[in-house]
Amino acid sequence: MSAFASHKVYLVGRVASLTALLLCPAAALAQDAPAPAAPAEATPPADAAATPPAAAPATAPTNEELARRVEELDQLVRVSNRKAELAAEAAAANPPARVVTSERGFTIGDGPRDFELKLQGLVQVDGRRIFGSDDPVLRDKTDTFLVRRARLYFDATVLGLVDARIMPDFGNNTTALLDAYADLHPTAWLRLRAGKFKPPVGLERLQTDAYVPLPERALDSNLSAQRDVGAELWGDIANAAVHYELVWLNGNTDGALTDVDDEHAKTYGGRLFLRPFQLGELKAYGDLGVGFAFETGNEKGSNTIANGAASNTWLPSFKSLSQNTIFTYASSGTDATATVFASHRHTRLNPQLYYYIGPFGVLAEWIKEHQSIQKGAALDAVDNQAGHVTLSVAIGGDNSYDGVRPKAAASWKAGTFGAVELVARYGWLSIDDHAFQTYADKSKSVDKAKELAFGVNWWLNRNAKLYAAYGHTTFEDGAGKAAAPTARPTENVGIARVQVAF
Amino acid sequence: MRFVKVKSILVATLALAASGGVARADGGSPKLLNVSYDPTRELYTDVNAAFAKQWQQKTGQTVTINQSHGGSGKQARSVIDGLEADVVTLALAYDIDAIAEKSGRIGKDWQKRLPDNASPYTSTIVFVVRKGNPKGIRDWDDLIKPGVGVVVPNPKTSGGARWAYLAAWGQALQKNGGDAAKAKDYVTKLYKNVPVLDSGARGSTTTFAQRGVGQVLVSWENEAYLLVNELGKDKFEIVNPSTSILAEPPVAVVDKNVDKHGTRAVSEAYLKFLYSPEGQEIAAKHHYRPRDEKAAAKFGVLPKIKLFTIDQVFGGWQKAQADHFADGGIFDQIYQPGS
Repeated sequence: MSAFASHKVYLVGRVASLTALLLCPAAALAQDAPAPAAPAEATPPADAAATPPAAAPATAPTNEELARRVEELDQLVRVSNRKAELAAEAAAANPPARVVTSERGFTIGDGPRDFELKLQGLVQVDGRRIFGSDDPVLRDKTDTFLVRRARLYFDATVLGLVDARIMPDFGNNTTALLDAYADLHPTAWLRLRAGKFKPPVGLERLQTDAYVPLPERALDSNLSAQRDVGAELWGDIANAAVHYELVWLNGNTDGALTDVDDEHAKTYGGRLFLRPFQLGELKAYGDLGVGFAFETGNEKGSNTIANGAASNTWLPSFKSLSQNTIFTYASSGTDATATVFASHRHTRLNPQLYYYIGPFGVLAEWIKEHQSIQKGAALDAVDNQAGHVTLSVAIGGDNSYDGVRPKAAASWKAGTFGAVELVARYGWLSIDDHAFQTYADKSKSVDKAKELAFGVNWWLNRNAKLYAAYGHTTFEDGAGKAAAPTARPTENVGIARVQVAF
Repeated sequence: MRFVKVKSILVATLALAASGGVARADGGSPKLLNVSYDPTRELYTDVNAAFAKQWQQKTGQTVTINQSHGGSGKQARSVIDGLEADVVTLALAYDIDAIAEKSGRIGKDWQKRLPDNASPYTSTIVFVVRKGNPKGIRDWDDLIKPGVGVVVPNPKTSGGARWAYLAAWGQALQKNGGDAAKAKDYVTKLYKNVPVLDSGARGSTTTFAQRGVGQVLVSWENEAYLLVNELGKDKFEIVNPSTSILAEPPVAVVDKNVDKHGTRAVSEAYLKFLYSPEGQEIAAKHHYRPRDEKAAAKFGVLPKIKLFTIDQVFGGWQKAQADHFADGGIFDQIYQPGS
């Protein structure tokens, strides 16, 4: 029985009791009423006067007294009814718990939002194909259906003060823990995050995977770490017109998400991102963001050989749009002196820019990396750099860093198509000539790469998106196949994707 | 790849985007949310219409003003929790101070930005009784007689209720030569006669007038006039107590929200409109006590009641709040739900 129904039963009982109370005086009156006049022959005996008198009848309540009692009972009923009404209103206004489904997942929480558990997910299924390549190895590696990302993750809020996120990924034929952090946020401008999260370098890297306009990030994402472990002080000031991050991290290899540091020295960094149009009346001019991020620290690899391979160089490999390796440092499974490994200073610099207004968007950034390395006893350093510009236009929706928001979700019945996003990206990766000549594994590496990619995305709604993309990447020097270590042939790849994010 | 082509596309896109941005700024139709306390619905319905007309004449923009009403304390909590109010027009300064302190959405100097401590009109607390005044209620002492059901909202959630509570306490204090124990005794007896605590003033009006609970409603003066005028002079009467409190409902722009929405200019103009002759007349029409005496006279001057201020008797809102309405304060000591 619901609380409301049980209250009704209570009310009915209450009213019945009050009615009974109201009727009591009448019953008493009836009992106390004098008997009807007896016939003459029934006159009491003469000694009746000697009989003790019967108990005096109770005084009958006056009309005023009855009216007062009625009024009191009426008030009791009215008060009881009103209290029930207010209780029902309060219950409706402050439900003890709520379950909400929205475009951002499923949320279970209490009324005041002090405690929440949000379940979100991301599934990306790709079909990839290399065009115009006579290299069967490249074709066989690339032409595939692929579960690129498969994530089911949790965000929790405790006491309205601390958030926590746990996000594993089961895509790409691996299992990895991507995010695992706690976020203490006493105010919007002062937050402390501890755990594993995205470090500050890489504007496109920081963009949520579901909102990146092409299926794979640009070439410059090769120069930033996927995740790092440590602490971050961050916040938004002046309505997020100023965003800052200060980090203290293990320091990670490019593209990596390793959890444990390899030496005692740590990496420091920060990011300042300004969005001036968030102030005052300027919002009508769109969302302009300009920022700068950096990281610097010591990372120490080794040339240890384990199981016939260099095991811990703390140096990355770089990948093209098709996710094929296009650069790797030299290593040897037999000669430790032939293996290149990280040797202390690793610095990244990263100017960032985006601008979104209405259907239009542009995002551009550049990353320069300084990496100290060692080969044998020789110490050296290389400087790599990469960047990209992405232009996007949303037809039937508004564009933003957080993806396209269709004006109307696709519906056969309503005759709406959602939104279509047209994307073009130009990017480049330039390996230090010195690194390529001396420290690269030339059988797998190129010196330079330039990418031009186009995409058409169909946003059925905020949760479902279909991608069709084509990328054309040219290379300078290096190898595309071990059998012919000369100029690597151009890579033309098509990627189709079905994505559901909630 | 020809980088020149990329550059051309970028420049063209930015040019298009910029032209779109200017068009949006010129053709904007600002929307405001006024988060207010319970009995101001009718006042702000009229204010909004008059201001929108004036703003259109001045700027060519069509401004839409949405209203949200509820107990003042509850409304303040909603803004603290993220309700995107552009302006707040609440029952008492403490509630706006709470928004400023707990959320940082309003600058702490908000009371200095507009005249009269950002309070464009005042009001006070009076009684409404049923026609014929069957319980013979004339002044505060009549409210604590046995058998008198007093309807007043909850001071924990309602600004009007806090004013009413302080009016009751203040008059008892003055009557008893500043004896706080006697004032507490009076207020304790008063709340023993309160059968239902609504969360806001409008709820109490419903309880009294439509649900027929109690014999006297302790109410905002403007709400009392609205009740009598709307529901019938043949059903209710207003009783003015000998002494009451000067209630000064304040207004403020919610700085962070207007900056986020790009509505600062129109929000500030909206609040300034309340001080204009037209705004003051609308306040007088709805039985508030406007600052402008001419406006007050136009709709008939409200009865003279001996009014004391919160500063005079309680040392300001912060002290009154801490002493009386904070958790464990005097109100919690004298009133137990269900008792």
